Amino acid sequence: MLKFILRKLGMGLLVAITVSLATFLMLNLAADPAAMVAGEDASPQAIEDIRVQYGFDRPLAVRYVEWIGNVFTGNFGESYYWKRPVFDLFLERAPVTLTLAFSALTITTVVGLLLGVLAALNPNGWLDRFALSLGTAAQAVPNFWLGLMMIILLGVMFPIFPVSGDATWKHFVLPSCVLGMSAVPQVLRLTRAGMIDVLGSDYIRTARAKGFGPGRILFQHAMRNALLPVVSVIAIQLGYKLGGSVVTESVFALNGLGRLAYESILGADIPTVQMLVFIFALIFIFLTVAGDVFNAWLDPRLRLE
Amino acid sequence: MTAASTSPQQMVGDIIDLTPRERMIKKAKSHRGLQFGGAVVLTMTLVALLAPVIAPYSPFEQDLAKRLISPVWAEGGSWDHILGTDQLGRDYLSRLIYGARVSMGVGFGAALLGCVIGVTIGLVAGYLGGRADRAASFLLTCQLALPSLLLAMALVFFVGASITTLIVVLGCLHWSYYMVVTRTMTRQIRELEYVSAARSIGSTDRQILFYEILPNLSNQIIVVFSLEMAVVIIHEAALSFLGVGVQPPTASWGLMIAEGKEAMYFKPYLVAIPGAALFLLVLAVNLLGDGIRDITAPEGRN
Repeated sequence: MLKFILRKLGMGLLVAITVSLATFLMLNLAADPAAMVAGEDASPQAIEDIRVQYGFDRPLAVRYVEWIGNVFTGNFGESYYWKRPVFDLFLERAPVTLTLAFSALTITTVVGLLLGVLAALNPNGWLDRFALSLGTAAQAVPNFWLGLMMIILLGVMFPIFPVSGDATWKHFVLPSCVLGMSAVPQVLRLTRAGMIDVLGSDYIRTARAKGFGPGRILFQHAMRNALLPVVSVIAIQLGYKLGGSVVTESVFALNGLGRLAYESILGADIPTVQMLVFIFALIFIFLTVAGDVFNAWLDPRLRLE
Repeated sequence: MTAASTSPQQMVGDIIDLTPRERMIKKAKSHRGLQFGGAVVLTMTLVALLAPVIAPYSPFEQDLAKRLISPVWAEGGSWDHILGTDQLGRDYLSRLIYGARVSMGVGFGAALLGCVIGVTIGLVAGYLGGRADRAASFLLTCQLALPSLLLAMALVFFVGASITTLIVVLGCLHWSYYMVVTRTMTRQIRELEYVSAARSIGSTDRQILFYEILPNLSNQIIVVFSLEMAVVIIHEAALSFLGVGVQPPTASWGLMIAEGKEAMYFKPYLVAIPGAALFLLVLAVNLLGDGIRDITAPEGRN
């Protein structure tokens, strides 16, 4: 088991380094960083000065090695735009996004599991059809538009929750609902399929034959097995939520990492963008590895690859 | 056994008598999701192609005397501008019609590029196996770890926003699903007897890949294509909404929502209409994909 974990972690590290290299190359080759820092109206001389001053004249390979070396010591570089260490910016903005991501994830999990289980109890019943239609609709609705429509309807016509900013917990209600809705279809479908599968299996029939009540069969016997695959999907969804916060935070004016990403892209602040892509990828890799390890712990067959 | 009863062999015979194509058509006739999705996608494609013919006005022509006219069903609306006008007095219906071009064009283009990349990697990895397969699956893990919307935003903005940039960037970031499906299927098909037969008569690897394996993947690839197209359409709209996608004055549904946002409290239709069009298109593309999967699935599988 330890060997399995170490192998997965080593693989994760290799993926993280490859991803950071790819990001570094793409961001620096997409445009001339010196010209972007200098701004649109800069003279060629000013651009050349900035190129030397920021070290853009050195080969990309040298600059990447320097960057990744610094990352291992916890230094993600200095922001061109804010003129501060970019990791400080990350720490400042992270709480808002983490709050948003976790509350959105809670909504996804509760709604997805509940509807999935209820739908599976009576496949093709009205509740099942309702859940599947809701899933299809939720998959097709653009996040940012749903957010704006909620602002128009709930924020203005029935002003229950504030629609802009991140001062109190109430500010997080609408954005969490919007971000949470986007992952409901996956969790719902997986839960439903798993439950239908398990409820038709022999051991559930045995449990019924032994005279256990429906509640005990559902919660103690069926759900445990049906929900295993759902756990790793939920872990992965947390990773997507962080990336998806770019749009939601912009709609609801939350000052989190998504907003930071948006501002740094418009400000051509490559170090900040590079750090955010890298950290989001790192979180995703970690969650995937954790999911693999968790599944291997439950099912020893998975430890042999 | 009497002549009146239907034997099991006969029932099986009825199903087997149908050719795969006939069976598919039979299933399609009773599949409402497929019919709805297909009809909407077809209509939107025609609207996009025929935009200059059917749009009542130019999508760019401004008339400041006619700013913010409401749609025909609301107070102050008229049949001159069925969906009203925007802040610059441009006809909203015409902009909506031209916006379909951007959504369909970027969606189709990027999904096609992703398809070429993903299917190529998947074919090679699944057919060769071994080291090539391990390299491909490493590449896949890396791709999945990247926050694609965030990276797409940065790349499109840095390179310079245009339709071409959007297609290239979104296409290059959305190939993983094609690759997974192609690799799994190729690995199964390469073991089949007809592939060995092709090899034994001297077919080269390239011939086997393109003439023996690829045609058998087409159904699955079409399904993935439609699902990925839906994702790409939403990403394009999100990028344009944030101001780093399609640039004004081009009409894109995402951009229309962003422009309408300024006046959404007293003119909610400015946001509601393009968003509803986007929702309808993505819903239809998804339903079409699910429908194709249902009708092409082998008998007895769902």
